Amino acid sequence: MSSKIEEEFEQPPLWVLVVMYTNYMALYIFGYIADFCRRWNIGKTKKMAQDHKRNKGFSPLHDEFASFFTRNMYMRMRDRFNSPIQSVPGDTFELMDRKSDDQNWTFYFTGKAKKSLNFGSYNYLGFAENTGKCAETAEKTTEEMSCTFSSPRSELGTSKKHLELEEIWSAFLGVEATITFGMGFATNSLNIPAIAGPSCLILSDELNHASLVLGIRLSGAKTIVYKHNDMQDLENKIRNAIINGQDRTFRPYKKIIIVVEGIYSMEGSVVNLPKVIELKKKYNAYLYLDEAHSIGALGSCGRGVVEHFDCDVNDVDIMMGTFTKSFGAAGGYISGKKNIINYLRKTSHAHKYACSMSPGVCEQIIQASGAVASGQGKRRLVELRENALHFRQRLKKMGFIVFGNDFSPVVPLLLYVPSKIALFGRLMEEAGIAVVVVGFPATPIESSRVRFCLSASHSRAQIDQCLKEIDRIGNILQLKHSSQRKLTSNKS
Amino acid sequence: MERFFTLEALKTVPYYHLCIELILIYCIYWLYFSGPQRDRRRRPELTEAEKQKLIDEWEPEPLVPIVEEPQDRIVKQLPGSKIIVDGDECLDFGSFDFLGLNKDEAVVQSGMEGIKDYGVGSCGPRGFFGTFDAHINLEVELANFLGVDEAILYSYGFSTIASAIPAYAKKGDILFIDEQSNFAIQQGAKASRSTIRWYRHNDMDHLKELLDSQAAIEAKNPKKKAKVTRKILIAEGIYQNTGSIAQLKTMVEFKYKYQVRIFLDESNSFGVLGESGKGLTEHLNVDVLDIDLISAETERAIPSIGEHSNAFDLTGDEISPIKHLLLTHPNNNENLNAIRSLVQSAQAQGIALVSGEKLDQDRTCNNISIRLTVSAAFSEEELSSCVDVLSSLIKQLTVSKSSI
Repeated sequence: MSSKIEEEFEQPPLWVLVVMYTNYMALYIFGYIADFCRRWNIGKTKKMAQDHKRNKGFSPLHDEFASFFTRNMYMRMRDRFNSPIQSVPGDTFELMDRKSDDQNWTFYFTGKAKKSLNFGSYNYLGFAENTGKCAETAEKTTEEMSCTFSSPRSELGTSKKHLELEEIWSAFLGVEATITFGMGFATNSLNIPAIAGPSCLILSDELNHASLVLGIRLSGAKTIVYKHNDMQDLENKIRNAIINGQDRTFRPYKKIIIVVEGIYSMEGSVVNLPKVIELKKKYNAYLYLDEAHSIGALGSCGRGVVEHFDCDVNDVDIMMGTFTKSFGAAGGYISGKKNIINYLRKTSHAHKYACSMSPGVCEQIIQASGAVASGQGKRRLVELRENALHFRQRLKKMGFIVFGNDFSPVVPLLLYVPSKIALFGRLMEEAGIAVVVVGFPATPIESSRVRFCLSASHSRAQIDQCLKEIDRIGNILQLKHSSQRKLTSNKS
Repeated sequence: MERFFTLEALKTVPYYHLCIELILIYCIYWLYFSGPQRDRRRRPELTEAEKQKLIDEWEPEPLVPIVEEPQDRIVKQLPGSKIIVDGDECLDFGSFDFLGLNKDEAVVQSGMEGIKDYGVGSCGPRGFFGTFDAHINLEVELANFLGVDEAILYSYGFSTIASAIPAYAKKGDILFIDEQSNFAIQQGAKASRSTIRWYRHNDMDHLKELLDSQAAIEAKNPKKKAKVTRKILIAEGIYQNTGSIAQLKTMVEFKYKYQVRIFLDESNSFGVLGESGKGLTEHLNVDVLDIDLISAETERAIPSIGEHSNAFDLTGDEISPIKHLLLTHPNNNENLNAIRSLVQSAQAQGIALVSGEKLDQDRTCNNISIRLTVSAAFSEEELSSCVDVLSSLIKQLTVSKSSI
C-alpha cells in the first residue's frame, strides 16, 4: 500500500536553477530587442496576424504586455506544438512535415510525412485503431444510425445506443447509474455548476485540470486550493472552513466538495485516495473524482484509481472520467448513485443544451470496455504496466529527474532550462520519436518538462529505441541532474 | 556631513521636532499592534474543544436533492424526415437537422471513411498530436467558404462560443449581450468575468442607449478607459430562444461609431440563411470582414409555418427555420403541464416537438414555449399536416382553459 502512494519530486542542483534563470533573462532581453525592432518594422514578417485595417482605433484584442511571452518565447518553439498527423495515433503515426520561413510566425506543408514513434498520445490501452473489432462495429453503427442526432439528450437526442452504453458502463465500474456526454472537458465544466453553487465550498488540488477550474469558477462556489496531494494541508483547510464558515456571513457552508484527479497528467502523480476518503468521511464532505487519465490505466481490471487502491466505489460520490484517453473514443461520463445521476439528467447544462454523443463513438466505447473486461484487455493492462515501469526505471537509472508515481503511465522528465524544451523536441523528432514538450504557462516557470505517455501497444523494442535516443540526447543537452544516480553508482 | 550620524546631531535638532517624531513612532506602533486586536475582539480565538464541537455539529446538506427519474424520449432515426419517438412514428420538428443532411448517404459514407482512416478518437488535444490533416483541410475550406482569414474547429458545439468569448474578453472588459441569447453565450460571458450589459431582445434603441452611456463614461477618462477596455457586442444569427434574426446592419453601424467588436453566433443560421448558406452576413448583404468573430455549431445546419392563437404568440422571423409557440401567460406549473401534454399528444399524432424548457440558471427560463424546427427534408404535405395537428391541439387547449 505504501509503495502505491510513494512519489518522487526531486529538486535539481542549484547550478541548474541558476542556468535556467539566466536563460529566462536572456530570452527576456532578446524579446525586448525583437519587440523594439518590430515596432520600427525591422525583420517584421508580412504574414503576421494583425487586426483588420477597418478596426483602426479599436482597443487592441490582446494586451501588449501580457502577450509578450507569446510573441517572444512561445514563437521560438511554436513548431513543437499543434504538429499535425495524418494517420491513426497508434504506437506510430505519420507526422506531417512543415516548415517556416519567418521564425515560426507562419507554417507551410512540404507534402512529405515522416513515420514517427508516438510517445505523445494518451493511447494508454492502445485502442486508437482503424482496424479490428472496435473500429469495424463503430463504422457499422455510424452507417445504421448516422453521425449525429442534432439534438440534446433531453430533447430528441437519446437513442437505445446511449442507454446501452450507460448500462454497460455502470456495470463496468460497479455503480448504480451513469450519464454520458459528448466531450470530456465539458463534462467537468458543465456539470460542476449543476452540483455546486454559492454558499458551497470546493476544495481543489492546486494542479487540477483547467476543465475542473473552469467548472468551479462557473459554479460560483467558494474555492480553496490546497497543495498538490498534501493531505495534511487538505485536512487543515477543511477544519478551518468548517470552524470559520463562509467568508462574510460566517454561516456554515451548505456542503463541502473535495475535487481531485486520479492521475495528474502533468506530474504523473496518483492521488492518495485512501487518505482522501478517510478525510471525506471524517468531515462529512463529498468527493468528486476526475479519472480522465486513470480510468483504464490503473487497477487490475482497468477500473481506475478506486480499484488500484482497493477502495469502495460507494465512498466516491461522483466518479467522473473520459473515454478520450484509454478507450480511444471521445466524450466523458459521470457515475454514481442513482439519485445523483437523475438529478444531473434534470439539471446538467450539457444534457440540456449540448448535442448528444455520436452513436459510432458509443459503439467504440462499448466494444473497448467489453474488451478490457475480457482476457484480451487484461493482457493490454499488464503490458501497459510493464512498459510504464520499465521505462520509468530505466530513465531513473540513466540519471534523469523523473516526477511522479511508479504506477503512472505518464512519465514527465524535467528539462528546467526553457531553451532545451524546443531543442529536445526537435532532436527527438529528427530521431523519429514524437514527444510532448511543455513549459510555462502549462507548468510552473521553473519546471519545464518533456512528457512521455506509455501505451500497451508499444513493443519493448520501440521503448528501448526511445530510451536509447533519450540517453543520447540527454548527454548532449546535459539533462542528467539526478543526485540519486551518484549515490547508487558510489555504492556499486 | 558626519555630524548627522552622531548623537551630537540629536542635540542640534529642535525639541518640537523630536516630539513629533516620537508621536509618529507611537502611531506606527499603535496601528501595527492594535489592528489584529480589534479583529480578535470581534472573533475570539476558540479553544480546541470548541473547534471540535463545531466540526462535530456541522451537518452538510445532501449533495443533490431527491428527484424523480426523468424520462428522456428514445429516438430512432428513419430515412427522410421521419423518426420513431418512444415507438410512435413522427415527423421530426424537434432536432436541429435543418438541411436534412443527417441521413444523407454521402455524409454517412464520409463519416465511415473517417473511422477507416483515423480510428474513432484522437487520443489527445489539438496541441499534442490531436491535430489531423482532416482538421486542417476543413479549417482552410471553411475559411475560404466564408471569405474570412482563418477558421478553427472545436470538438463540441456548446463549448465553441462558450470558450471563444473568454479567450478575448477578460476582467474589466465590457460585453453587450442580447437578453435572449442562448445558454452557451451566457456561460461564456460568465467565464470571462467581464462586465455584462444586457440589452432588450433585438432592441437596437436600447443597445444604442447602453453604448451611449458607456461612451459617456469613457469620455470622462479618455486615456485609461477608452484605450484599454475591450467592448464586444455578442449576438446570434438566428436566436435559438425566439427564432428571430439579429439586426446585423444596425450593429455594424454601431460597431464603427462606438468602436465595439462584433461576435456573431451563427449556430442556427450557418448553412441556412443566404443563397449559398454562408449565414446571416450573406443574407443581409453585410461584408463578412466587418464581423470580428463568427462561430457556429456544425452539429446542426438547418425553412416556415405560422399559426396564431389566443394562448400562444408565434415568434420567429419569416425566413427563420426556428419557430417558437410562446405562452403569453406568465410562467406557472399549469402552463408547463399544458405544454408537456401538448407535446405528448402531438407525438401520438405523428409530430415530434420539443418543449423549450430551460434550466433555472438560464436567464431566459421564464419564457416557456414549444420549439418548431423545420428541415429541408420536409415536403409541402408534411408541413401542412403539422400545422393542422397543432391548430387542432391548441384549440382544444384554449377551450379547456376557458372552461376552467
